[in-house]
Amino acid sequence: MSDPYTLLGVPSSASLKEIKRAYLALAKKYHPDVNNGDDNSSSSSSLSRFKEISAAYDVLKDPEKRRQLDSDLRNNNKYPRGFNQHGAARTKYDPYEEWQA
Amino acid sequence: MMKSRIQSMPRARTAHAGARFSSRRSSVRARAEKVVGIDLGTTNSAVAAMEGGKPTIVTNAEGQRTTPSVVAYSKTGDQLVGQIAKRQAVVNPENTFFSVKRFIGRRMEEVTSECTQVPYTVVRDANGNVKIQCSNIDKEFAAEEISAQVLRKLCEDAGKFLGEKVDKAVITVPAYFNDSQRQATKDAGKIAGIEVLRIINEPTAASLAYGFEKGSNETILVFDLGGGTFDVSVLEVGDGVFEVLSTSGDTHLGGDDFDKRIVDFLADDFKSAEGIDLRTDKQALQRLMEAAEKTKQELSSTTQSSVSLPFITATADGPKHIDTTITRQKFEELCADLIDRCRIPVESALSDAKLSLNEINEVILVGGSTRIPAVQALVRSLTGRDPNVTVNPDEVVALGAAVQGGVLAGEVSDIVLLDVTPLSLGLETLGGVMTKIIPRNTTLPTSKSEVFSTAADGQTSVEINVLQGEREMVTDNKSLGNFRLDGIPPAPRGVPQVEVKFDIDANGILSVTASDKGTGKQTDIKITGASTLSDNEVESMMKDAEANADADKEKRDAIDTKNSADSMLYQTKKQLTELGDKIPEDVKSKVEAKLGELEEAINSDNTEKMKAAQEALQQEVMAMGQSMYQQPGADAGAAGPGGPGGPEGPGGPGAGPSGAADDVIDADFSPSEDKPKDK
Repeated sequence: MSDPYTLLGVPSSASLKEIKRAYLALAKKYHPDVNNGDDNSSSSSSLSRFKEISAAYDVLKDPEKRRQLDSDLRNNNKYPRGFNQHGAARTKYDPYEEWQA
Repeated sequence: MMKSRIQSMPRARTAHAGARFSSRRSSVRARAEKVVGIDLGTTNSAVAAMEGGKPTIVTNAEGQRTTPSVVAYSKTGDQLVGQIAKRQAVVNPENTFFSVKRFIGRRMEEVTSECTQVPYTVVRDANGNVKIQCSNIDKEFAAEEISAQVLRKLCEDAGKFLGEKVDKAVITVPAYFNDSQRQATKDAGKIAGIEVLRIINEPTAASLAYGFEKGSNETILVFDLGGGTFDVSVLEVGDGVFEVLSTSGDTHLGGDDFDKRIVDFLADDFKSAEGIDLRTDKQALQRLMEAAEKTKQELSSTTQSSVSLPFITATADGPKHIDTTITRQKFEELCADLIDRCRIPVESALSDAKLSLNEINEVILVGGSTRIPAVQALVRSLTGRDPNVTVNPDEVVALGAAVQGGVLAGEVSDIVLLDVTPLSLGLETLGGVMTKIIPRNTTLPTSKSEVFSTAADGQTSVEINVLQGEREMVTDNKSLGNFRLDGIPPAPRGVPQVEVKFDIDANGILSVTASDKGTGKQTDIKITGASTLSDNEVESMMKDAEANADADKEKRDAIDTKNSADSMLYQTKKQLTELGDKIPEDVKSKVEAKLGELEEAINSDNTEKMKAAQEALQQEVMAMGQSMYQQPGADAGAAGPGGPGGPEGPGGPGAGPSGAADDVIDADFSPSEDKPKDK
């Protein structure tokens, strides 16, 4: 498990443009369409890799989410928002779950 | 570990794994297997394939570049697909099925307005899903089956054009199609015996065709107003990456609705004048609809169009006619609210993409309805620029699908499509609200999971309702299916932890897995209420369709054989009369005997006998030709056969040996071909 910056291979000071360029380059490499001819194991790992980088980009391209991430990284806090009861069935809300999975 | 998926999912996964496996195998030999791109439209469909590195439209058996998405069953139970089906719609309105795309993957309550717009009968099945009734063969069809018949024809025609069997395809759907509609489209492909490698969005496909071979970086907006649906997508294109930033649309808006306004206008007018509602007369309604479509199309290039429908109905006073003129202005007035509805998706797509209008470099128009001047004017006023008209709005989607087919077949490299899910996905939580798990415009493929718990003490099961849509309340969104998690150990509420994982593949099709984190216990999960077909239904429809295709082939073979037998009978008889007594008597009697056999076979309608008798007759006719040449003076043959009874001398008619029949046909046909021109 690594944070979105590490996943996209950009410094935490990177501009939106740099982040985007890094993401598109990685997307071109890991998208399941371009990995069709590979053997099964590598294409399924590239699929999960693609999902990870997309989720990371999703956080970093949104200024609000990125600010939240930066502050969490500083405080080293994994579950910043704690328990958020959405109806009774929901236990917690974790905005970064996708890249922890 | 408890696992569940939405009903349709195991199928989707197997199909995908299969696709990957076979493409891997074929890569060993050569990556030559053709993957076609199919734009399965509401009113018309088109097919394209990569030819010499470029996407190219494949013409159908009738030589047309698009095929009407129409299927009909004649009184005799014959299946008609495409132009031939569309042409007989007026005389067979109840058994001619068009615009079925409006019903695919839908539940009855979602299509109440569509049901009243079509002259065929749409009914609700036991599950509340849509079925289409066909009285001529006394059968109820799922919309998937009708679409499958269109797909089958498209692929068969493409196979003939390309000279190889076509059974792999990329099929496009409106970007705003929900999960059920996508799954249903995939099922239609399966029923047609086609391996659907990918479902892609129509506006995205259009952008692929537009941006293919284009080097520059551009932000484009695709405005796709088709026969039944409206889509808007905003994309960034550059360096071979096609990134969809946002998508929006309206699945109840399209050219059909514009037609309907003209139909209503004409029918209301007629009703106030004559007191008869033509919409209750299926044949009159069908004629009105065709006239409305024609008028709409004409008004795109002219400012007024005349509608002439003689003998539309009859009263005690005699026959009644419609003879009127509709101006472009009147048409625009009738459709003003429809045109205005196009505004909202454009605005929401832009706001979702966090872009302003001046950041859009190009606006691409897709779909036949974008030819309407008022629609173009709206685009101009919305975007402040002239739309790009370099692409053919009827063909660009199929071309883009072919490019994606090329990518999947390994023929095209360096192109990646990053598409998004058009609608948010989530589940029902306490109080009837929807909790979103994957928000709209998330890049695909994607997966996300969340942990849920029980709402009451000692609760041992959870009912999970999977939803798609943007509204807060469950009832306003589309339910994709329910599943039930049993066997949760009794515990105080909030303690059990159930992890629900949503997974969307590159087709935009969802699968759901649930596992109890606490116990890891296996639980039985049943899913109900999905508006797609079950595995078994798809399987049996596939067998049905295959059996029908075989039967159709036999029928066609029988008709072809009979036609050629008939023509051979006629030609041979004609030759016998023409040549008259120049044929040696023994040869003549042999030919006549075989002729009799063929005639008998034709009368008994026995295909096999006809084939055998034709063969036998052919032998005798050849012998006959040979005998003519062995006669003295055969070399003096004049050009052109003499008329019956009018040859000047022996050997007068220049009938060659084996080519005898052909020569006669040629000489005989050319004057008859010339005749119509003289008139």
